[in-house]
Amino acid sequence: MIGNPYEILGVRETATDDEVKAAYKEMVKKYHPDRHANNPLEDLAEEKLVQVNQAYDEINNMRKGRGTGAAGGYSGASRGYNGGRTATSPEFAQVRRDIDSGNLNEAAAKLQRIQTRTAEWIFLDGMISYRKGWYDDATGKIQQAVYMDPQNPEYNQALNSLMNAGQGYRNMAYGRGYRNNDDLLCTACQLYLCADCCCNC
Amino acid sequence: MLGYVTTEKQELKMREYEIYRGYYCGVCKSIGRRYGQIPRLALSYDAAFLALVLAGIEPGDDVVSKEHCIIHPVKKNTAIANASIDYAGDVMLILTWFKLVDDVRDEKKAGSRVLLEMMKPLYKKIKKTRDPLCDLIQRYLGELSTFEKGRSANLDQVSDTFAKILETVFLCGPGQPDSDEKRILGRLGYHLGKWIYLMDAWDDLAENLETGSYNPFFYRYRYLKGEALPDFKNRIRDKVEWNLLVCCEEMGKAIDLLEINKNKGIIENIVYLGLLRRTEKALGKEDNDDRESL
Repeated sequence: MIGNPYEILGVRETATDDEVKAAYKEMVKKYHPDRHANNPLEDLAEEKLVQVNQAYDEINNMRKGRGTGAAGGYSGASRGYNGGRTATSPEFAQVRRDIDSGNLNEAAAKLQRIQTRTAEWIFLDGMISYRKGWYDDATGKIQQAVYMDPQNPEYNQALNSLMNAGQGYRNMAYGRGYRNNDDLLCTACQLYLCADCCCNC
Repeated sequence: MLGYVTTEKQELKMREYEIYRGYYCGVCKSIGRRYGQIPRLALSYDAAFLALVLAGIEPGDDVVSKEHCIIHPVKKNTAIANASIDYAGDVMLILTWFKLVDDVRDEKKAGSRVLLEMMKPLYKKIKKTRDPLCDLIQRYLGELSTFEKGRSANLDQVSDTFAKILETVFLCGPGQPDSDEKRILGRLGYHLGKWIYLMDAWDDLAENLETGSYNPFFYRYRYLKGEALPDFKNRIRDKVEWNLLVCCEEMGKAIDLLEINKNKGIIENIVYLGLLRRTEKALGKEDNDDRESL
């Protein structure tokens, strides 16, 4: 096994079933394949999710013996990106494999050798930009692919998740207690903070 | 160097706040101990974040001490010392050095030549121990300046070089991260660098417009001749925000994947709360300030 399952979920062994379940749900949200899809670190997130699932199962199994098990684990992801993949020519399939394995220079070189600039060509060019961290550039290209092939679910999904990236981050921040600073107390805190920056070091 | 990376203080635990201060003061003391008092002025909170992350993935706990400080001789402050803190101090000084080099070349500021001369022995000393890092930073800054001189309209291309500097900075630390950790650290650094570059560009709009110097946003979003700056800012604000928050999102994903041994609460506070606060502050308030000054 993989170490202490409670440590993996970040809860104490005395945690109630509900607390375990809540911690587990938090972890699933963190490592959810939808969140990390197309990301160079996707494989690490998958490993983490496997660990978390194992830990949760193990705790449940241990607790079943005591008759308190919290049932209902997370079963698999929607795997939207792979599910919605466009049928491709062998050339494009190779480019996709290079992108998936992070071999971006090779992917770009192969793409350049393909003459016809179809929607898929432009989409893959955009995905190379995305993997490089060139998001503004990627958005323009993927938008163009969607424009050329508006019904394609893969392009639409990639564009959507790119456009909503900031919202995902914002939601995580709010989940962690981020507040808009518009009430009096916070203004007072800010003043205190400013004063503190100046003189308390 | 720029001090954009801070905590959301009211959401920190008291203990976390003490440790955060301990890192900040620790970097300052590390610089003072090794290079004398003056270079301490180069310190910013960005250095504390770098040290928190790099030390955070190392095993073992930090030793916390209460020390006097020249700025606050009476009250004792928490200070922490470790190899990551020393490294973060060096990085700040290296970046300060190149900032001065840049200022002298552009003849931006009057006193910079004198400062550069004063800093020369110090930089030589750092370069002895951090040679590969210094060379890489110099190379990337050279590329950055080429793109800036070419008035690049590609936000990604121009910020990419600065992002690579921070990527390198996160990868050249004193610890021995494994290959997975390196991938995560590199990604964290890359997106932090990109975010800092774009934040700085946004904050510099007014100044750059006045002096006619390069700002990527003017080219990417086609600043129209005679367009009032607040109008331009209103026009591009959502797009700039998106660019900034994509970087934050990637940093969030990266730290969520990192096995963090210590400082976890503080690191998460900075990435999820501090960066968002700083982004919103820059994007929201700026506009009002401009109107007042017009």
